[in-house]
Amino acid sequence: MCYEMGMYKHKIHTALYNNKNIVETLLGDISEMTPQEIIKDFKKHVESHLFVAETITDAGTFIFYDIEIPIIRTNIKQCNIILYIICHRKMLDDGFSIDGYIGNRADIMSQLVEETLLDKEVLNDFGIGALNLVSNQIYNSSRFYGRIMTFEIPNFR
Amino acid sequence: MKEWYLMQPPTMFSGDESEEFADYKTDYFSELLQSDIAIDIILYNPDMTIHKVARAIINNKTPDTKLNSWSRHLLLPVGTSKSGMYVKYDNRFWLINGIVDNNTVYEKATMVFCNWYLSWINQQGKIITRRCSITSASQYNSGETGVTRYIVRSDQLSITFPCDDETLMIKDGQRFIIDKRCELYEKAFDNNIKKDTNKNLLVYQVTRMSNILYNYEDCGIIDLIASQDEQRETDGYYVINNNSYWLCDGDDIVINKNQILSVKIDYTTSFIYCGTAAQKFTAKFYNLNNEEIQVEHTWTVDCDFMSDINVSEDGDSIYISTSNPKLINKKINLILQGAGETTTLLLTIKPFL
Repeated sequence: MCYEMGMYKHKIHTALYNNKNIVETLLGDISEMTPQEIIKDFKKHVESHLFVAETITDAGTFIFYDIEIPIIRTNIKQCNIILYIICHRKMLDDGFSIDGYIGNRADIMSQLVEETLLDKEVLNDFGIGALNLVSNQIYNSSRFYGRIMTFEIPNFR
Repeated sequence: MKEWYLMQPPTMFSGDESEEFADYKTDYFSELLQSDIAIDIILYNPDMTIHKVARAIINNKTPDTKLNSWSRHLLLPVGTSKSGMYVKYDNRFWLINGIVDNNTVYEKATMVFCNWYLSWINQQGKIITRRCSITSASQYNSGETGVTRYIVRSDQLSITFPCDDETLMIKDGQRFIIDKRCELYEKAFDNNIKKDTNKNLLVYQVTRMSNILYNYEDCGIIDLIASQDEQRETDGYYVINNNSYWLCDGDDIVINKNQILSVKIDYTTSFIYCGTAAQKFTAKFYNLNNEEIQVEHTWTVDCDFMSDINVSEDGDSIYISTSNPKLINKKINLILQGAGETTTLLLTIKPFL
């Protein structure tokens, strides 16, 4: 019943990692980094749970995500992928930009995440049909600001 | 005619028992081996890479003299053992030193107690170890000899080895450390000690080798005489590839700084994250001075899904990756071999999260 949770997380993590813009937004300039260093640092900035530790003091950008199954019917269940895309307040409006994207750092990140997960090679890889973005809300805390994105996908029970 | 179960055994032998003896002689011995007078032993080849367990009867276990206490007689099924094999029982090692022969019922081997574990460097620079039996070849020697100017040590030992490709090539002049104090010294070493040449040691040099006296065609033992030698600066304790040895230089064999001290695989993580960039593993060889040195080496990737992983080499490094999620949690054995040394690393394919 809950097998997808682990597999979806692996697919999300891999899809985000394979987007160079997302990696550079999270880690900064990676031109001097080895592939192993990039993997190690990426794992510090992208976590497969929604617990945002108050002890994070780095002025950085992070992605936290998790899977929930709010509705389980006789044959079909509903899977939701919830992502927190958050930046430290100091970095939010620091002039960060990528060609073709508009907004502050959190806005750009959420556009990148949407593109990545709705890419034709990724969106049909989860359940029945295509992954669907259903909401994009605000995340607001004392140190971090960003977006809460929710994707849904039905799957067989 | 009486029923067979009412018949009595014959009271006079007919003289026709030889057939029965021929048919059942080995069965009788096998039955004896299953009884409590027999024990389990392990037989080893000279370099101890092959062994087999066998049941045997060991005689001469309650001798009356010190000299006899060093030897045992081994009774085994015919064809089990050969001269030059090691025998282990009761946590002691013995060397079969006589010709093994049989009387059609069982075979008998004489063996002598192995009281030392010798290490030396062969002509190719490889470290060889063998168990051996050492006895004095100079029983009534005072331990000193000399002329007018100086006194040097004097002692002679007779060393018996199994006859194999390595022991046959021991040259005159080969030097060994034979000193029970080595065990005491090692107890005082901590794990960081890789070399110590400051201890007083008893060192011996081969002065006479006999490899035909105990040549039994396809097997045998080697007997050599080693005379006590003066200790040299480089004689001592070495840790090489995580194994400790007490080693000497020979006249043409030198423990030089290019001797491999350790080999390891350098890596960031032993996890291969599915769907990401390849993980890099680098071969590192270190000499006695803990300096990195270049050594020709080979990598072996051991798994049963080679077609689903990507492997490439570049210089001293090997790169491994996979994008097949079905391999998650599977293991790969990465083996590095070079200059006779081997090390392994167990890798796990993990989901990237």
